[in-house]
Amino acid sequence: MLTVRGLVKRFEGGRVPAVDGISFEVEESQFFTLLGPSGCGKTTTLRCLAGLEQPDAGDIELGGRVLFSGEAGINVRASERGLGLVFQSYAIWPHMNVFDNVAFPLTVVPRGRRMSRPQIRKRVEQVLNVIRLDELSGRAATDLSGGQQQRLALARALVMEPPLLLLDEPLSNLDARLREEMRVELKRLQRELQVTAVYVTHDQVEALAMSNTIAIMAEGRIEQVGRPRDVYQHPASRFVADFVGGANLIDGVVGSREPNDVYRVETAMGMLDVSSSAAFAPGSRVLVVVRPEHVALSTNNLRAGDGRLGRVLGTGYLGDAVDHVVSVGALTVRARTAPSASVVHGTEVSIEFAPEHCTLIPHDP
Amino acid sequence: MGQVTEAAPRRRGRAGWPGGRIRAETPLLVAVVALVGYLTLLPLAYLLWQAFFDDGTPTLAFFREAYSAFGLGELVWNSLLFAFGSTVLAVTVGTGLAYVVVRTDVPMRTLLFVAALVPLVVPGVLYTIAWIFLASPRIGALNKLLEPVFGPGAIDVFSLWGMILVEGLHLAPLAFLLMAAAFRSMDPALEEAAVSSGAGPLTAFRRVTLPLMRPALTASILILAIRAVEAFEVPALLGLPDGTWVFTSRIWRSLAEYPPAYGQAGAYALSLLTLALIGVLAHTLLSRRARSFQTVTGKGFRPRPVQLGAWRWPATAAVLIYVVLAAVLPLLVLLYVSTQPFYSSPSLEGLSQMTLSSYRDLLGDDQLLRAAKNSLLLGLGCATAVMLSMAVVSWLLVRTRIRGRWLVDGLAFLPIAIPGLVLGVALLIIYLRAPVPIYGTLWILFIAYFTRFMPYGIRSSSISMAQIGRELEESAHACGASWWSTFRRILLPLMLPGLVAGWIYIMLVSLRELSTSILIYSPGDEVLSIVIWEHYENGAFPELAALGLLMVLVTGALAAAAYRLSVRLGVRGA
Repeated sequence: MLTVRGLVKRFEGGRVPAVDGISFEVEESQFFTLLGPSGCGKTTTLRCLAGLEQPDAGDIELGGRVLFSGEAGINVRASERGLGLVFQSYAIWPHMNVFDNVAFPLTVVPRGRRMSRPQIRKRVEQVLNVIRLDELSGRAATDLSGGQQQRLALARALVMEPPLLLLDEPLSNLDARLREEMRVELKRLQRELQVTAVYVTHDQVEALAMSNTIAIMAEGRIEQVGRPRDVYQHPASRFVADFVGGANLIDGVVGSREPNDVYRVETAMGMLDVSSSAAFAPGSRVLVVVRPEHVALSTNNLRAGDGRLGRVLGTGYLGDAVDHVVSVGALTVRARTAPSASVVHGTEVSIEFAPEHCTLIPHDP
Repeated sequence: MGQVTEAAPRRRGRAGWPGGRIRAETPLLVAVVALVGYLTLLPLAYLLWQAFFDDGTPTLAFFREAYSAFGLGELVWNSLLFAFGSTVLAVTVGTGLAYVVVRTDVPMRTLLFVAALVPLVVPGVLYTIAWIFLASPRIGALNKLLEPVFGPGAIDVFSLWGMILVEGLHLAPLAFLLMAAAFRSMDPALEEAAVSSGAGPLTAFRRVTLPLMRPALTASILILAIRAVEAFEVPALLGLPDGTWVFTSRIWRSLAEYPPAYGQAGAYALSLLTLALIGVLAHTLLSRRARSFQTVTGKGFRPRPVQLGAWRWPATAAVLIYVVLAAVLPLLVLLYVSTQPFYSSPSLEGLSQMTLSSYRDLLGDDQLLRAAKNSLLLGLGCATAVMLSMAVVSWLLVRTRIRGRWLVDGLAFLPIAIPGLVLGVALLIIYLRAPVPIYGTLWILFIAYFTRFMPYGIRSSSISMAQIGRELEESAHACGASWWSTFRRILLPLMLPGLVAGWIYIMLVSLRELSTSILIYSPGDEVLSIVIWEHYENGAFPELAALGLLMVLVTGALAAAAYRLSVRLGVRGA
């Protein structure tokens, strides 16, 4: 459906390109997320798709239509791309009411192709209904709450029934509760309307919860593309492991390769059998990735031998869980346990984790 | 997915658009830029040519003549002292007023706000004459009042100090407006943080508010200094009788001689232009640097006024003294003079012979009615034309990355450095020779006003353009709106409060414009300020006062109506 190839965007005065030759594909009716920290180029990529920034090189195609081609010198203007776009700040026009904001895209269609007024009214009401704003139609746009403005921006983006919906951190201005609610709502709408969506966020929870596919970006490049589960369970790099979910990284050396892609890895915490889809040669340096929620703390099983003894340096109560920071030898390990299993600060503990919950990534050169 | 289109690779155009495609809005942009360039550069080119060439041969004779006849040192000294003094006075008064009215709990704030702006609707020529009625050593009302105590002629308005006082008071509302805007856009949390850290109101003002205001303050100082250097009415009416020369009055004298010494005037004008240009250049550099200092957050805040406490009444008294001095006294003396059959200093005797005859005379004066029509036509037309065209230019400046846009900005702002008299003489000669029938019509005045007030237009529209979030425009494009639809349906409505504010200001300054008009008007095309000037020269003081008061009333009403309109149109959260 959407194909992006070798996209490059440099800003004036910027030493490195904001977007550095990225490529990806999005299938019909899929929810595709660009996830990354601020400044990684995800928003710039989205703006290139929308036609608001002009890439320096690369190709963008949507359903067989070339939107941009650096080589062929094609750049379809934003107003002619016919995409739906939702801004982080919503970009609701404050001088129009709810109805006029949504009707705007329909009223700027060239005269020959424009719908009649009753048709426009009907279409807008239909969209407002779907988005559950129908009762606020005559309200001034500035009188809406944050969540309602968010819906309004979505309604405006959807009113033209665009082939592609672009969303730029649309939930980041909402408070935590509302954000969760809108996350579900947004996903429901996308699925119901079968619209292809490209979603930009720095929030891994959003990305994991909503997407069919996630592309994790750093410094203008895509680090890894995959289904949420794959990205979380099998991060391809230290950056992905760290950024998505947080991870304990334990230095190790591959000893031998066992059947079923299991590697025997020698670490400061003893010999671990870890499965990995990536191939490693015996003797190569690796990092063992252990998610904090897979680390258990034990106070009655203090064995001295295998380097797993440590002391709790600090705790953080999260309500449904407790975060612990444990120093183990030269390492600092994070462990997340149920409140009932939490350990007070200063306690001697031994840490335990099952190797089947671990994965391997190459050690940085 | 399809293959990359097979078209031959093309080099990208200079502006960075693949294929160098001409966009729909390009002709409009080119047209406004050409207009700006024409209006600004032609008079300057003429000025240089006039000052350095005598009948086509290069010469420096005009400069020699201009600066040998008179003491150059005294001329420069007077000009600088006059500009410096009136700027200091205006900025001090204007900033103090703005702070008290905008940010504190002083009583009657709305009323004070309006009163502080009154001198703005009084044309400079009328304001100066009112002060002559008040403080002339021979006939001044204040002097008559003080005579029993200090002896005759205690206050002499015909002096450098008098000039500074009158010009300073007349410029103060401009400083007030600039600073009030800056105070209003400051996040009050910054000040509240200072107060909750234990600072009193004075300390908070000195340590937090003032440093934050520094960019706005420097900008105001420079703008006012430029205005003071170029001031014509005060030096001509107050300086000439006393022999206190500044550049503008020298230019005026050179042109009033017969035959007019255009070359000499050009030589003075170039010096004046240089002075003003230094100011403009400094202003441009500073405002570029000041961007990082912006305290406008765009988040709506409702400023909680600073509690003045014990300072409340002294502050109120200071504001009231200013209002009386700057607005009430001049208007009162005009009112008195307008009701007299002939001019006399205010006295009980005068009160008994009050008459409305001068107002009656006004209504039957054909020249006057014509002038009123011309003034209104020019004011409304010029303000509208300037704001609309500058809105387009400001889009070009604020929203695009087109190379050389700073040049357009400079060209549109440069006329602020061209003194009115200088522009007048340049336009006079250009359109006397031009084959187009513009001289002798209102069009030459329209061109002059457009050129002179373009800088205000570009500034106010650039500021309002910059305040509109880029995404409001981008979302319109993403919705399929063309450039023109976006401009008309999104940008113009959102800019409207700012555009109307600029429009009001340009209308006001157009209505009171004198220094350019006086050189280029022809009989039949007089404007009101010219009529006032002529009445003064003829000694028709009561008629002048009556006319002036009516003019103040009408412009005040117009400004108030336009202001209310802009408040109604104002959009929250824009």
